[in-house]
Amino acid sequence: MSSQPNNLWPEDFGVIAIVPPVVILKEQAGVLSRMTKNIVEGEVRSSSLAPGGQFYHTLGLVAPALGGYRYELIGIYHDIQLYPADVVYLLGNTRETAHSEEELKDILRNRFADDRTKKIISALIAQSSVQSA
Amino acid sequence: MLTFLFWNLNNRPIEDRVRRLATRHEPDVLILTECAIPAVTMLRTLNTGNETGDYHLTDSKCDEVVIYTRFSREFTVPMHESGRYTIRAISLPARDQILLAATHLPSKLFIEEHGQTLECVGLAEAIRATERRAGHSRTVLVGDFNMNPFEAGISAAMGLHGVMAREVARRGMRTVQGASYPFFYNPMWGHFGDASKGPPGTYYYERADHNVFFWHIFDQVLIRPSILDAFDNENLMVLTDDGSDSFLSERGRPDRRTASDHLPMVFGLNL
Repeated sequence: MSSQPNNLWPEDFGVIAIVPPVVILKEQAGVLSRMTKNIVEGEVRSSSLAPGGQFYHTLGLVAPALGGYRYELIGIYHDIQLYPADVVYLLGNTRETAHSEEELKDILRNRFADDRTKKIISALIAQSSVQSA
Repeated sequence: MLTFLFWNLNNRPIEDRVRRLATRHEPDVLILTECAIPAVTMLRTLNTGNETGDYHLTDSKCDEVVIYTRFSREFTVPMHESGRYTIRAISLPARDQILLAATHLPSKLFIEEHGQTLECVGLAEAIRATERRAGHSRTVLVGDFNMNPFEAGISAAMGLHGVMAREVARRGMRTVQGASYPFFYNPMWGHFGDASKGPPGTYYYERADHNVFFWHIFDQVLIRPSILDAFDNENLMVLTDDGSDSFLSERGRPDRRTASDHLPMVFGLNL
């Protein structure tokens, strides 16, 4: 004879109001793609196999005209709590911690504006122009 | 509806005309052959002032075919490619995967008829092998075959096996000499001559010979029976203008000076 088990769970799990780092990263990937007319596309890859059960996301710069050449720009580690998130700027191999959505956006804004980032993107556009000419 | 646009550009720098076509017909998949327009130029042209969605260049090892999509590159995965054709799996969210095969086969200027037929035999086998690997045959094949629908490469069982009637294609397979060959439905048969809704063909060629057709349909789309219900003949059009200017000369033939020696075509699949 079967009976329904007692429900020990709360009625409501609540809604997290914060935006996950991967969402911010994907938004910025789309923005870059639109800015460059898809000559350089931002592409996010995610994995949940990072050490310590962390999530790991990378933002790569992809040049479709160069056979899909991909240059890794940013890596973000975080656990299931989403924040704090460790941001690794792969061009400089620097690591910073964002404790909130706003801090993450500030770090990304600074890293996107870094001369090394701009140089890589402009080089990918230039190389794509030569390659596809 | 997933909309496809195919055009052989005859190596002409006509990216503005491609953009006008894209704006007018909003193809989700833009397939180009004899495309000498640099990818960067095409992307800048297609994606400037385009309110219907940006185009992405997809990966390819096939030099003869260039494919741009309005969806992300990650949804098209090359399954099998050669210098003459590319076979892609298109896996869009909430839709069944389809296979898109696109080709540009050699011209009669460079290869004799038997060679063309054998090219089709090779392509047909590559498609069947890819279908076996994918586990389905929801396949659409499009391209400039440099052959008419009635030529052996396109119609023969061991070739692409494209037939003119849905009813025949729906039989699925046909056995010839003990071997079974799957059908394609070839709707291009209905686009020959003046009684068709569009121009008499997609390509015009004449010479001082006895048996000359003048208009040809080298540019074709063929559809496997398993996705035939998704294809409506009304959604297949051979195009004669880009909404602003004609692709035809004053004599009513493809105008290679201002456009291409081939006419483009658009078709849709209700997936």
